[in-house]
Amino acid sequence: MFSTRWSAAEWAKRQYLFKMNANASMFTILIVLQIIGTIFISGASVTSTHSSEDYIPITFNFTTVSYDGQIGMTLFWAFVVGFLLTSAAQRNESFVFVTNRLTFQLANFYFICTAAVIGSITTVLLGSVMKIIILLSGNAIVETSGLFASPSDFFSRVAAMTGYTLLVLLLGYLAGTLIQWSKWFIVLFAALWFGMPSSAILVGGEYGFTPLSFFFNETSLILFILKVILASVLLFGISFFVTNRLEVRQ
Amino acid sequence: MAAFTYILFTTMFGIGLFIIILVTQNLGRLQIKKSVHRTIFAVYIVLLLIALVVGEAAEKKLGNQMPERLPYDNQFDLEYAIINKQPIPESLLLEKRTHEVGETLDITNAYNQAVVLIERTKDAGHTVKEAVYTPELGASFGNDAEEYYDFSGMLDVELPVWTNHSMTVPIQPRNDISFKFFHDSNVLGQFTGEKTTSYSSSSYSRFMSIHLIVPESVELKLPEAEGDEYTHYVRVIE
Repeated sequence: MFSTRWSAAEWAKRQYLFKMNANASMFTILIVLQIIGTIFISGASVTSTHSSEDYIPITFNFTTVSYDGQIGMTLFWAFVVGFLLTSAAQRNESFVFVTNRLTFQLANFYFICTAAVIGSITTVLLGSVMKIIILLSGNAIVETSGLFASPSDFFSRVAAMTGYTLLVLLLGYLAGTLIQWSKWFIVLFAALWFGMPSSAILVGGEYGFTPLSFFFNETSLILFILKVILASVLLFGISFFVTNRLEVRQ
Repeated sequence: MAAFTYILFTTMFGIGLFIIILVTQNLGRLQIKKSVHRTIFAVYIVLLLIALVVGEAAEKKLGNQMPERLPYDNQFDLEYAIINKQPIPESLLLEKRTHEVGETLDITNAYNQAVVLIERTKDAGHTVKEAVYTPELGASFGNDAEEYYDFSGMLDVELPVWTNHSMTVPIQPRNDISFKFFHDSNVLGQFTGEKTTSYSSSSYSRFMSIHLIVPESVELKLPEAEGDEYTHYVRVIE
C-alpha cells in the first residue's frame, strides 16, 4: 500500500527524471559525435577554384564552410536515441516504478522533447565554434547574421533544428517500436534502406513532393511548427498504439 | 558507378548507425558515474556559450577586414566609359602618369596582359598621357546571388614599362587568392531569408586597362594583328 497517491502526470514526471539520469550517457555520445563532426567533417566544406580566362594569372580558391556536417551528426544521434528508447532494457527499467503504458509513453515523450531541445541548441551553438575556426584561419568572409545582429534568425534556426531533431527522434522511436512488435520490420526497413532512391525522400529530386520537402520548403515558422506538431502526434500516436498491443515485458 | 556509390554509402551509413547503437547501449552499462556525464555536459554547454560570445566579438572585430560587398547591378563598364569619355570612379584608377616620347611609340602587349585603349589627339608635342585602371576580381556565393565580393584590391599588378620610344606591358605577377567563406547551415536557414541550398559559386575577373592619350605627331607601332587578338587587346579609339 502507498501512503501517497500520485497522478499519472506525476508518475510520468518521475519516470522522466529517472530516464534523464539513466540515459545521461546518450548526451555524452552526442557531445562526442558533435566534436567528431567539427574536427573531421569541417562543417561540410567545399573547395572551388576559379582560374581566369586567357593569359591573366589569377587563381581564386575558396572554401565554403557551414555546420551542416554537425547537423547530420546530431540527426544521426537522434535516430539512434529514439530507437534505443524502445529497447527491452529501457522498458524493463521502467518496471522499477509503479507504471502503466500511458506514464511510460509520456515519460519517453518528455525525454524525446528534451533530447530534441538539447540536440538543437548545442548544434546551432556549434556554428559559433566553426565561425571562430574560420575567422582565426585568416582570409575569411562570414556571411551570416549572428545572435546579436539578428536574434530572431538565431532563434528561428534553433526552432527549425528542434523540429527536425524531434521528427528524427520520433522516427527512430517508431522504427524501434515496430521492430519490437514484429522482427519482420527489420527486413522491411532494410529493403526500404537499399531499395528506395534518396530522391524519393530528399528535396530537389525527381519527385515533386517528398516527406522532407513538406517541411523544408515551408518558409513560415508558425506553419512549420504546426506541421511538426501534426507529424509528431501521428508518429507518436502510431508508436503508442503499437506499444499498447505489446505483451508486458515483451 | 552511381549505383555502386549509392550502395556503398548506404552500407557504410548503416554500419555506422549500428556501431553508434552498440556504443550508446554499452556506454550506459559502463560504470561511469552520472556526475561525470553531467560535468561533461555542463562544461560543453559553457564552452559553447563562451564560443558564441567570442564568435560574435571576433566577427565584429575582423568583419571590417572582409572584402567589400557590392550589388551586381553596380558593376561598371570601364571600357565603355573610356571610349565614350564618361566619368570613371577614382577607385578604379591605379596610376596616372605622363611620358615624354620620341617620334615613334612602340607598344608591346605580347602576352595580352592588359587591354590597351589608345586615343589620338590633335595636340602637337610628344607627351603621352597614361591612365592605368586596376584589374577586377569578384566572386559570389549561392544560387541567385544579387551581390558579389570585390577582391580587386588584393591583386598585385605590374605597371607598364616605358622608355622614350616604347611601352611594354610586362607579364603580370601570379595572383593566388584563397578565402574561406562561412555561411549558416543550408538546412536551417529556411526562415531567415538567407536560404542557400547549394555551395555553388561564381567569379569574374577583368584585365588591367590602360588608357593612352597619344598626340598624332607621334607615330604608333602596334603589335601585328593575329586574328581577333589585336583588336581585342590593343585598340585605337576611333
